[in-house]
Amino acid sequence: MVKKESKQICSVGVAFVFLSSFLAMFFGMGTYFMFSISGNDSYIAAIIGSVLSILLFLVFKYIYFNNTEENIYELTKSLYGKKIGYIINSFLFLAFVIISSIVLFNLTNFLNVEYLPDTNANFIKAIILVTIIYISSKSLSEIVRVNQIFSYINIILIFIDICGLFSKVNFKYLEPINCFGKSCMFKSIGLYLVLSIVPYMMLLITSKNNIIESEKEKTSSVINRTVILTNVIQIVIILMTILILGKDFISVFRFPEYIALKQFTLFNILERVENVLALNFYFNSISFLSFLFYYMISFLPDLKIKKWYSIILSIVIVIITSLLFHEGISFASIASKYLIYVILIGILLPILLIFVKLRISNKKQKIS
Amino acid sequence: MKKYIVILLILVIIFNGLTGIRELTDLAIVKAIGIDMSDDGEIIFTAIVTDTSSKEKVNSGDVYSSKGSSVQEAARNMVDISPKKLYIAHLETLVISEEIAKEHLENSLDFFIRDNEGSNTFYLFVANEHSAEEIINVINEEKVDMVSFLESTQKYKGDANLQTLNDVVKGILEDGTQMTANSMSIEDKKILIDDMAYFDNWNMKGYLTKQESILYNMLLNHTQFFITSIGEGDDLIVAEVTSCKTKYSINKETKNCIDIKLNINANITQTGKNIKLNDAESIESIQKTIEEDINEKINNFYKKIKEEYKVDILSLGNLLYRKKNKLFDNPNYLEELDINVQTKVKISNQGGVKKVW
Repeated sequence: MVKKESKQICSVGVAFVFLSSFLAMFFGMGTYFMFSISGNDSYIAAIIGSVLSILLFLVFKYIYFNNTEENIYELTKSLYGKKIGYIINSFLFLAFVIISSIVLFNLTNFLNVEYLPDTNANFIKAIILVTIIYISSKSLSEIVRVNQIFSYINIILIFIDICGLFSKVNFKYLEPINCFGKSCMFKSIGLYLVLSIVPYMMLLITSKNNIIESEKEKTSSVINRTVILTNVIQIVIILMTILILGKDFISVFRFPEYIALKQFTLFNILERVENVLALNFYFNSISFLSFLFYYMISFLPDLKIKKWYSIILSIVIVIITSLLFHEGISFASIASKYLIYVILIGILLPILLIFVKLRISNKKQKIS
Repeated sequence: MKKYIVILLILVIIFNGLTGIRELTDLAIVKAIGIDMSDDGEIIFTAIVTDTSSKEKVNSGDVYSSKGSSVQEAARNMVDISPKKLYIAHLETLVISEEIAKEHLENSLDFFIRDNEGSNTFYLFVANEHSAEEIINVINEEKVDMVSFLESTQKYKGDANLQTLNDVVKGILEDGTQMTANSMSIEDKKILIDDMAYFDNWNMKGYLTKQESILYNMLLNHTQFFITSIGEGDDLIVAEVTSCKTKYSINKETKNCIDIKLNINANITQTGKNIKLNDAESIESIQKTIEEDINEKINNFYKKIKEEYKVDILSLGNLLYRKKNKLFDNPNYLEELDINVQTKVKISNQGGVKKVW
């Protein structure tokens, strides 16, 4: 697919990039891993983790506002030179490939388990990837706009979810507090922190040069507010799931958030609408995968076959998912073991290298 | 590129979209299911399939029965006698035989918990002294709307509750909690919601009495309305409880005692000729009589739970667990645990009648 010239993006569009990415990263993965580590204490882990992750976000924000290049890959090359820059970018690229595979399998698994149990998972993957290929064939501004629409729908759906589930809440499920021990709590906090790195990374998909001139000033505050909103939404999702299902029931299900949605009832009239409400899980993952694809395609060289990149990438990702993961439970155990290392080595390490170099060069510039 | 995407979409639809389709008319919508175990250890699966073609037959349908080595196999074998595949998303009632409840509940319920179509919000019943198949047949013949029937019993009698399968499974999984389930039997070819069954983990142990079922539902806030009678003949007091709220806390002085506080609002609906309701004092005295009576009933019930049933159906252990009480570490905590019941009754309505006769 040929990428068209990037048009200008509004500040809200930029900020919403990590809203859907964040929710996609946690649905069926982050929350599932956290629940299996820290059970009903996961909401405490999420609160502490979100505070720490907001601090970590400052690193990404610093890079974003000091990036004078078109994208993160160009910035790496300008900071470290072509060869080392290419190696660092390769780390990022490989991490995105693995994360895309994990997100794709997670979404496929969800649809396969809860909606289409009789359907071959590869067909579900094909349907998802067709959408992704189409979206990622567009320019960045169009991808961001699609995500913006999804994000508004998400926020409305989440608000409806909370209204319809509030009557099912049982506060006794929060007790006993810290029953899993401090080490589990720390693990869970760490997990939240590490998983939040990927959505924050999505911010760097754009550079400040892409933002509409008139909105550049307010971009920083819009991003800050959205980061806080995103973390609050994620904490609420975790908390509501615990309050509805309780720690023992949560551990039974692969997608506890969806099972909690099944309890939805609004004024005793609107019931059994979990499939409609669960649309936001689908939208988030689609948006997130589109960003990941855009990132990956940006890394690849500008060759004649560039228009086929998204299809080639799709095939590669389908092959990886087929080789690595076979079904939901084994996927969760593999992903929970290795995803953290993929993020730490593939994303955090390059980002810290970029951050350190950028800071040094900025200081030098100031001195000179 | 667009044409490739279109081709791909068409391929996806051709190769898959139409093969898995299930038309509404092809669904055998199941309203109630009964599960028994045959003498040779096979599962007998009985289902009422709703007749969607007739508006008059809203609460009835056709009963099908099949056998298999598992619940899933038995359900699938139904295709031999009914051409449609069962669709259990609208299941309202699941009736299990006593044998299943006593020995095979875990394996049988697993099928329903795993099922992705249903929401597990149907009601579970134990077939008391009858097979589940018999009960299912009577439900269908008598066109019983089980949901309304259960709701009425819970609302006006208080000896049944509205716990769904999810609640029941939660009860089993939660620390320091044992579950109960409603039971059903047949009397004069009519369906009867009978005494509640109590369980020890996944195994049914026995039945509570009617009175105990009411006390159980009252203590677990499962019911708001029930009738309590004190004395007899000329000393009779009949009170209709209109609201009941129970709160639990661990006694601050003795850590192996749980304080149970009940706040009850009641109406006097019938009295014997010796009972006067003419002034505030007499009403207060009746309130006290009801309080003492309920306290005594609860204490006797708890004594029976401790000594005879030996199963923590009141979830007192769960409170100990949640409050990190050390007593919970003892597997026989129930033997050492006492209760202190404090009932507060308020008579808000004496029927607007001054007794002058």
